[in-house]
Amino acid sequence: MEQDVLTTLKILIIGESGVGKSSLLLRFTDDTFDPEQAATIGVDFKVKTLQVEGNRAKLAIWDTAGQERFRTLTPSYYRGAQGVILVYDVSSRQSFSKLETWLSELETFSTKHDIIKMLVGNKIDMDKREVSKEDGLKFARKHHMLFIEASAKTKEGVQCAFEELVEKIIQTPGLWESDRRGLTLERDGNTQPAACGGYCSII
Amino acid sequence: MASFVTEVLSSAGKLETQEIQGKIEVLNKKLTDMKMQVHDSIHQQYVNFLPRLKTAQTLSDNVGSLSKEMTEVADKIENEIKSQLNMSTGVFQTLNTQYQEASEVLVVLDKIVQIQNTLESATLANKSKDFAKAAEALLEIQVSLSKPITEDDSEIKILSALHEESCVQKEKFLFDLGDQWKELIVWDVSKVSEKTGEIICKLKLEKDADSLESLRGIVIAMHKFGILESKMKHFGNQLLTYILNPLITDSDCQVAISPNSSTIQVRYISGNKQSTYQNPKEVFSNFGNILHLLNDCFLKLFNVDTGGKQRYPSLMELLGGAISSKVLELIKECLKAAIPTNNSELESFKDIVLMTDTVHCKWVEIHFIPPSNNVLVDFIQNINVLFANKKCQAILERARKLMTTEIHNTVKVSSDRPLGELPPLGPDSGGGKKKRKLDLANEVHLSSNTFRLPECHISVCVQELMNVAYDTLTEATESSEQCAIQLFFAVRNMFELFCSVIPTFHRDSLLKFPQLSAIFHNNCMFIAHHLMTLGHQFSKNLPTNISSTFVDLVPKVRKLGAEHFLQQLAQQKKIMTVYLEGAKGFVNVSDEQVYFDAEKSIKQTLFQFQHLQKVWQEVLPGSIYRKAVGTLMNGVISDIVASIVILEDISSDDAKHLGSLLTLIQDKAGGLFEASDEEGINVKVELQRNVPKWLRFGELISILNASLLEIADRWADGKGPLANEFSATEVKQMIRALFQNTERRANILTKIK
Repeated sequence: MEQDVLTTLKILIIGESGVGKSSLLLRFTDDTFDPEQAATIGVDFKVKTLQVEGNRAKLAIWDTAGQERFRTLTPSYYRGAQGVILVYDVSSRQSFSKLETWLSELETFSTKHDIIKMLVGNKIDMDKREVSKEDGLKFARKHHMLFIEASAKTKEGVQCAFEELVEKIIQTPGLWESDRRGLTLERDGNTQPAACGGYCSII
Repeated sequence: MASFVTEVLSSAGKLETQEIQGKIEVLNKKLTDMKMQVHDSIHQQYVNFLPRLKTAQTLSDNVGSLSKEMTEVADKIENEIKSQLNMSTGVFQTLNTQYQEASEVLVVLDKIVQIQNTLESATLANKSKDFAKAAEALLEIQVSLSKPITEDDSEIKILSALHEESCVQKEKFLFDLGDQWKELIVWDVSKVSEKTGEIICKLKLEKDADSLESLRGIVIAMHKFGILESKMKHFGNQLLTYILNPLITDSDCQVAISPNSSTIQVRYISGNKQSTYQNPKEVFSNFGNILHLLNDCFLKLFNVDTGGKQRYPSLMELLGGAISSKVLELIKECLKAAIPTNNSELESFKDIVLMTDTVHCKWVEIHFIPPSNNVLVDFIQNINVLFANKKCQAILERARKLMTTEIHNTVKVSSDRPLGELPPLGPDSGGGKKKRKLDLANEVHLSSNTFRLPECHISVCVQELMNVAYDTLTEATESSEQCAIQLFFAVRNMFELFCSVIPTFHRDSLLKFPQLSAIFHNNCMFIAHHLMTLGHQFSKNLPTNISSTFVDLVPKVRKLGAEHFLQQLAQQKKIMTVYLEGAKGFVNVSDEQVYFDAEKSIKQTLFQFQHLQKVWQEVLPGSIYRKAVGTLMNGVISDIVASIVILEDISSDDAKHLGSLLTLIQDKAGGLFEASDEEGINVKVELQRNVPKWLRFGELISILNASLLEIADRWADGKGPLANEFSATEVKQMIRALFQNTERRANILTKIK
């Protein structure tokens, strides 16, 4: 099984505190959900192997602390990341409006200029929605990001979010091959976007 | 023809020859006559010469005999008269000498008689206590005897006897004088009790007319003998030692002055106790009374004598000359002690200044001090300088005392107003400046905590020190310029003193006790914090010619505190290292003894940390405490990780034991960062923040407990957290140490690069 793994991808989850970054991760890796999920301190790390379009990729996922006071060593975990999941809470306008700040931090510290970004609007199970899907989509388009709405609680969109991201990373030449010299992958015909999300990059 | 001519010629010759012949005959005749005449004359001369010669010879003979006779007669006369003359001169001289001797003897006798008489009169006068007269007599003798009467007085035995006698008389007289003096001026110094050292000194002066009269005689006599000055000096010294000195330097000294019995009594406790200066008012009044009494009963006596051509110094002048300089010194000291140390008392001190002036005038008037002596007035006129000097001295003394008290008595300073309400800054002079300030304030919002000192503990004494500084500067703003400058520099000196006194005085304890070095660190930061603004606080009300700032001291003080605390940290690090050496590099820890040692060394280290927590956490500002403990912890875990990473072989038992050992630290470390009173402190965050190698330590523990697969996941192709903390070489080294050489291991090892 292990031999089949195409590559290891470093994925980073960032966003305001309380938007459900850890919950998304745990739903994805362990398929669990804890409504009382404690705040992350520093950084959490999970590994998960994912099968995308016939390719197996190992994901090294870094879940960062959203709370300013719990953040440590910021620059180090951005290093070498190939994909980033930027999370906001659809029931919190404030978490949405802070996205710009997170993007600017990402720009500042990421070491790969073509890093793939996925915007996730979490908590769509909540009744009180403050950010419409259109707003999210607009923001994602503006910043050349993938976009999906999800709910860690109901599982909706979680798996899809990671798969979309990984797929896009693998499709992006030069982003991950440099890690594994000599092994390149060409799969034409797999480039059309998945049904569950909108890829907004102009390129 | 010829013949004719010859004829003519021969005739002419013949004629001529005839003529010549005739002439020769005449000449012969004349010659014969001449011969006759010469013969006659010669003959005549020689015939007459002889008789004349004979006559002359006779005459010469006569003259010779006559002169011989005359010489004889003169010789005779000379011999006889000269001898007679000599004889009479000798007689005259003898007579003359005899006369002289007789007159000399007469003089000597006269003198001797005179001396004898004077001697007798002196004795008589002495007996009748007419000292003045006796003195005069004795002096007269002295004068007489001092001049040599004859050329060799030594041969006159009576003279030397008289000399001796006069000496004896003189000595006796002086002795009597002394006795009399003592009878009239009575000193009585007695110890009341041996134990307490209490002493009563009594000075009694006889006051009745007789005594005064004889005292006066004594004084005059002494003056004549030139011993008055030394006597007065002695008297003055006694007065100084027994009465005046205790009077000034001992506030417990009791004085009783009774003009009626003309007695001064002083009661005090002698001993080496420290001077407690009497109140100057009291001193001046007592002094006045004493001098008045002395003047009445004693010192005025000699004033009468000053009427003569030559002005003699009065007794008061003599006394003054003997003791005034010392008295003035004492009074100066006394005034110095009485100089107030704060402005309010300075007002009331003006009375004393006035009083001093009066006293000075009075003393000049009674000639106790010469008019040229302005010591006292100059001194007291300088009151402002004196005040400032004393004040500065008091401040520095106080500061030094504070610095040498124990620094472990602490007080908590909170972020707001550690010293209470500070004096307000002066009214803002530059309006434009203020506006700018406001503009800035609108642009950038600073945290209200930006310029606050974090909450911590400082020594009580340092807080007081700071209070002294504020108080002094406040006082400086209300003082005269001169005084203000001095006070300002006293405050600066105070902080300079702090920098040198504390590290020296507390050197050992600062090194030995971690808490003290922490407190000292806080103390320095506290002082530096205040020094930043201290100058500005007061500069507007201080003289403009000094740059009233303290900011130049800030780096110095901060550095001092930081250095001492860093020194302590290094010391603690050394201690930890020594403890960890007990683990012997964590080799083979599954061995019971090795495990025991290793566990012990780790427990010792943790114990030391807990001790530091106890002594530091409360004292240091939270952030500083965490940084300090974090740095130490980082050192410890770095050492541990370093020694484990290089292990060649770790059995699964070893790994388990190592894991549990390291977990010990992992479990306890959080507790070091727990704070009961600080909100928002998350120990995990603090550990990661303050212990840079904490994650590396955590990764090591997980490796020790992990399977090969788990390690590979954590490495995640160099994208996992393990790769963040360890190099591939290190990880591979550990995998080789931990796991058997299997295909799986080889597989994993190839992936790690």
